[in-house]
Amino acid sequence: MTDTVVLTGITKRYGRRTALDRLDLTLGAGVTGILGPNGAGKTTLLRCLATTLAPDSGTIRALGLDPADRADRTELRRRLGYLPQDPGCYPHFTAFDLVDYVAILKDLTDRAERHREVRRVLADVGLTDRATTRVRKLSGGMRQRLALAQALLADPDLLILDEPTVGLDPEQRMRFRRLVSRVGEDRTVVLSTHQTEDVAALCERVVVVSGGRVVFDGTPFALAAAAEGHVWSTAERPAGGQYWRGADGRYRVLGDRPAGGESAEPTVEDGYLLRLAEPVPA
Amino acid sequence: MTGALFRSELGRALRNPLLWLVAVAVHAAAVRTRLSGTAAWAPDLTIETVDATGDALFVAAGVLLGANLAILRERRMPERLAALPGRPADRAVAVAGAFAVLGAVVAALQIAAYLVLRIAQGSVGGHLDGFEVACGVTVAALAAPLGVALGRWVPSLVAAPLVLFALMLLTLLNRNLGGFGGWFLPLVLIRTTDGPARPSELHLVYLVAVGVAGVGVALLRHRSRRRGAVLGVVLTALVLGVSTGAAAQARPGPGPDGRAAEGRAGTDCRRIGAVTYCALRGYTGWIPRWAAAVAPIEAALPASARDGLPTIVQHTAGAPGDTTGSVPVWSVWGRGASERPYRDFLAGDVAARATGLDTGERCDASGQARTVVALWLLGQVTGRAAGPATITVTIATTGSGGRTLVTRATPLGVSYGAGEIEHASRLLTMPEAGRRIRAHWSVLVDPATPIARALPLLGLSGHHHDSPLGPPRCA
Repeated sequence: MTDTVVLTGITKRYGRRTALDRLDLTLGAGVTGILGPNGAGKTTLLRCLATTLAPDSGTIRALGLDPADRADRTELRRRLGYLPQDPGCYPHFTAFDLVDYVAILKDLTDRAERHREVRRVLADVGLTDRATTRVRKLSGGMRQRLALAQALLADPDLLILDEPTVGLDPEQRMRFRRLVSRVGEDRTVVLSTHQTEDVAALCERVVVVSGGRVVFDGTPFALAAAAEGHVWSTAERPAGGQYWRGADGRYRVLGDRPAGGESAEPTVEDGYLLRLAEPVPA
Repeated sequence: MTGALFRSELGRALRNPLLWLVAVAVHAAAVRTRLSGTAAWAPDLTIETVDATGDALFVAAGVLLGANLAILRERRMPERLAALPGRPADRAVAVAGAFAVLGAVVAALQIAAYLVLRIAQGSVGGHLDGFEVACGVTVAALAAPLGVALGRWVPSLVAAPLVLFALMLLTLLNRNLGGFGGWFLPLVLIRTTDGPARPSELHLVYLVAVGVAGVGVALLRHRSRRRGAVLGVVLTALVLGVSTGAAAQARPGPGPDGRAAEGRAGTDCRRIGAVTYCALRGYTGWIPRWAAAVAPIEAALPASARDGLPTIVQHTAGAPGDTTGSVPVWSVWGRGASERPYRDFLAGDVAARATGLDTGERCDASGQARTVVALWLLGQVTGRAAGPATITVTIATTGSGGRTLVTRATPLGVSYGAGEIEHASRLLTMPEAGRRIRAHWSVLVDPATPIARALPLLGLSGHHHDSPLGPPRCA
């Protein structure tokens, strides 16, 4: 697999707070999920990738281009699609006009070709029948899909999605997974999410970020497997540790075996939570 | 990308109702306030052009707000825009360009609509100053870079309205060039009929320089390798703007003799019938209106008396000059219902001059046969024997909306009583009155001929009782 994104020793600070701490990461084709608690540095990482934020130190190469170089940065922006955590919108624009405006800014200057592309991405996210509706009249989920449509313009080689499934109903989430997995067949998709089910269902690779560092990098299966022997099911309320009561009335416990506990099948979420519980290496 | 972005912004700006509403509302207000009622004057393009370009100020306000909002909308999705190859400078130029083009077109249409409407009313006087029109169009256009520059440097919704309010207030206070700002403001609404030519060509250069500086200031907000060059252009434009603004400011201010001082007081004369009409340069379009007030009197006179009719000469209010042998008209002429006092004023002058009543001072002409004849002559124009009612006409307007007025106690400028009016009224109903008056003209206009002696000559019966109104008697 060819690495399309290589981050080396990336550090980004906001005042005294270090959001990214000498982070190293390489990404190739396929869908990579970035997991991490709030404030772990996921969004900062994606912003650096999306060229909207320059790291304080370290280097980034994406699609063979150096975002620190002006010409490379412009070229990279043509070839990436970015859905920020807070995409925002122009409420007075129609859905079509908004995507068309972004398409122009993405250097799609041929009008007929651009309009075809706008119609295509609107169809991809299921908003064809809302093309002439003003954005302010769209629901939150529709706006999220509209934002995704803009990220999909011009078939980006690198697709960066920050919390893309927020506000989507189950049907739309399925549609989103289908769409993203299709893009990830031959291009690089990076998505940050809190939804471990999305990661399990969609990502070939998962990166857990905590304290500005990568604390896990592997497949979702490996992340789940890392929890092997640390996930238990018991009918009695445990005395301590991480646990919750499931729909079957039994307690699911992460960590040491509780009294009367039976071994349970670990999930990506179990692996993620256990990974976060471990101290971040210096 | 810039072309596509410009077209995209232009399309959106075209659909922006703000600008169109402003343009239509201002045009409607202009038509209503200036073209109706007693303030309706015959079109004077020297004035109309300033009024029309003044209206463009409102279009400029709409453009400024529209461009400002178009730039401020970027605050709604900054991160998404930042990840796109289209640079903020490209977006700023596209918005400024789109609104500038639209503003210029709307202002040009509005100015043209107003001027065409006025010209279509006929009897057009004055000079159409192309530079003045260009200034109005340019002001509407340059409001776009100003709105964009404000949006880039002060990204707040209140900044543009505040700047706009300040500019409008200063412009209003500067209507007679007496306020703060002078010719450094976008538009100077001074509209003096007899004032000097406005430095509109200098002001146009000033406006273009300010517009270029505005675009440059907006672009300076963004990192660019050409920042040095942009700064150079901004500084050059500012130097040019300041120097042309100062040069315009140094031009002579409005004065009553301004037009004469600039050599625009020369006249173009035209002879219609037995009367010569001399209009200030550019005002020959008003001659037919003056002739309409004089021709009925001329037609009623005997041939021998027609040669003695005065020349009608247009004067500036501040420099009436020598009116010996001539009757003055001014830089303002009424239109429609408002034309009547102007017509009565001129006809009264001509009737008084034809009958020798133009003594140059207020005197008592009651009891004199020539007073009845003069009233009859005036009645040929007005259709009635005019009573001793005061007539007031505006003969000049000033920058702050003030007017120079001339008032006359009676249409003939002399005193007379009810008896004269009664005889003249009866004459106006008699078909043979004209023939009788022409037959006895020399006797009737003799100051020594009393009414009592004239009555048989005029075919009128009855008596006339002299009741002198007071010295001096008209000689």
